[in-house]
Amino acid sequence: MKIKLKNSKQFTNNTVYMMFETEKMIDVKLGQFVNISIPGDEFTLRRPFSIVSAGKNKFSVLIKVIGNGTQKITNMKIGESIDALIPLGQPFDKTIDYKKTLFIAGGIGIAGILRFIENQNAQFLFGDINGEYKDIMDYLKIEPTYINESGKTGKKGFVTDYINDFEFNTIIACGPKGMLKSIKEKTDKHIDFYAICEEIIACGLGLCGGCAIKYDDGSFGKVCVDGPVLNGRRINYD
Amino acid sequence: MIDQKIKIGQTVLKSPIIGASGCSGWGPELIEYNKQDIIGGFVTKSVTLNEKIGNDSPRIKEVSSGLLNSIGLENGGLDYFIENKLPLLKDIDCAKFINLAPFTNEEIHIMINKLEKETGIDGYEINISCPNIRKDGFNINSNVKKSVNLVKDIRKLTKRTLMLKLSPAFNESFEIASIAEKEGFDGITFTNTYLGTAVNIDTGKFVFKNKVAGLSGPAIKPISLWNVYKMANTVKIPIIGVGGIRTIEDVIEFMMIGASAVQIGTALLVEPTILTDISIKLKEYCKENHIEKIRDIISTINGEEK
Ligand SMILES: Cc1cc2nc3c(=O)[nH]c(=O)nc-3n(C[C@H](O)[C@H](O)[C@H](O)COP(=O)(O)OP(=O)(O)OC[C@H]3O[C@@H](n4cnc5c(N)ncnc54)[C@H](O)[C@@H]3O)c2cc1C
Ligand SMILES: Cc1cc2nc3c(=O)[nH]c(=O)nc-3n(C[C@H](O)[C@H](O)[C@H](O)COP(=O)(O)O)c2cc1C
Ligand code: FES
Repeated sequence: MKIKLKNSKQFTNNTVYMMFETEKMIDVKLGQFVNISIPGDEFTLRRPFSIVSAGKNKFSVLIKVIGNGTQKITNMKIGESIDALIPLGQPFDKTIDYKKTLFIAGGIGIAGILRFIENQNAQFLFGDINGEYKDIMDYLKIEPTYINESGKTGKKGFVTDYINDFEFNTIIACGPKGMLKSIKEKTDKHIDFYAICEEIIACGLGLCGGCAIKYDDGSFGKVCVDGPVLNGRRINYD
Repeated sequence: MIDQKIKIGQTVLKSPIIGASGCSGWGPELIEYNKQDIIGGFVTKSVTLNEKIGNDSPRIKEVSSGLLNSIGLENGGLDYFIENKLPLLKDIDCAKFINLAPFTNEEIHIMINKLEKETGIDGYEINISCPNIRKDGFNINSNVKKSVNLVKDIRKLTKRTLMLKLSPAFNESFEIASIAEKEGFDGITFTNTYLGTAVNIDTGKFVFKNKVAGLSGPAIKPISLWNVYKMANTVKIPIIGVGGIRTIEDVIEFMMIGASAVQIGTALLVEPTILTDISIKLKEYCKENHIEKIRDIISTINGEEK
């Protein structure tokens, strides 16, 4: 369906928060994503993004510019429209006990976590390199336990160094594979661990098998229809 | 009333627009986005006799106007297909072709014999042309002798529509197609993907673990169009033209040059409703151009009907 850019806000670190209005009503569940066309006449795949907030006819994304596609999407002007497939992916339908759940994000992985913690008193552990997501946190009024590799705007180190400061029986995490792998290794296997995963997405609809993610038993799952929220303990991150 | 029907073997297509194998899922995923009473049909993902795990990621790399894929025929095997996927096809009302990818003659015999006991199938597309099995992209299709042996005794196994899907990477495909025609095949699906690759310049290694990948999408359209033309001059049975199709104009080009029907793959991944959209546009095109029967445009480039 067509989506129209209503507002966008640029942050340092090449990250843009974009709010869209949808042509038709949407019902976005936790954990779902949107697959957006790239503006222009070229034939390209769509690009997938986590939905960071959503209403009946609007939703927002937080996009980090890393290449041609994200550049062109974030260059859109207010009032411009583009095609999108929304919502996609398996809804996360487990009941969340926020007192016993630890949310962890690394870098732009924050986009995957935002909707889970929206209006919640959540335990949120966030890590980046040098405080480059500070202005986004301030804008979104989020106060995570902030960890930097440099220690500039928070505690020094990696998020996984601080996991044991919290009490939890469930982890929901989004970020680089190295971070997810480290969470899997450093936490007890009785802790439920949900990883919000990324692989290259082509269709986003289960048509092509392009988004395969490998499990420890050698089999594959499809990030786009089985996920993107998957059992983080089963995944082979290597 | 415009007649959009196309006949291939025993199958009457409601429109010449078909979803290509590997880009149509198992069927239901595609039908969710398309109108089964308007489109021609779809071809399932390839089924192998035994389960195939598929290749490691990355499996996809986008290139200019196209896609490299290295999926590696991932599927649960024939029995899994019959038990879990085939039942979902029974209520779908458009042409349903099962794509079968054998590694030996024996395998294709076992597969067809088992499927002949099942309902809800219009025909078989036999795929000997997948580039993602060996690290050099070779397959049965690269060897005329092996291909001939494989197509030889299949006709007697089934009355259902039989199509052979061939690769544009090997010149042998034309000779194999001629033999398939003599052996009673109803159609030739041409082309599968082209052999291609990509290098990760940061690591200095191939992007894909299997080195070679299959190139598809608009980038290959002019080459596939030429290949379909050559194939149309090689065999008289219907050709199902495939390769980079994404507009109604592409469809007309393929049909005028010799295709009786077309399949859409990569463009379907980007526009999931494209089979319906193009089928509707094709009707409008016929109306505007006073074409009563869509089959009248097949092979018109030669001034002759096919
Ligand atoms: C389910 C899911 C949710 C995501 N959510 C967010 C989000 O909320 N915010 C955000 O900034 N990013 C998100 N991403 C990543 C985002 O999709 C990629 O950064 C984007 O597609 C890159 O496009 P590009 O054209 O700018 O980069 P390119 O120049 O095309 O590629 C750069 C790199 O990006 C990756 N990439 C390219 N195409 C895709 C694709 N189709 N799917 C996935 N990765 C790709 C590849 O690893 C590639 O090497 C998500 C990815 C997935 C799978
Ligand atoms: C992701 C992907 C998976 C594919 N898988 C199969 C397959 O399993 N069997 C097959 O016969 N062809 C497969 N193909 C080839 C297509 O059916 C088609 O022949 C080819 O992509 C050219 O058409 P296109 O340019 O419209 O995509 C695949 C193509 C793509 C892009
Ligand atoms: S991206 Fe096509 S199946 Fe997941």
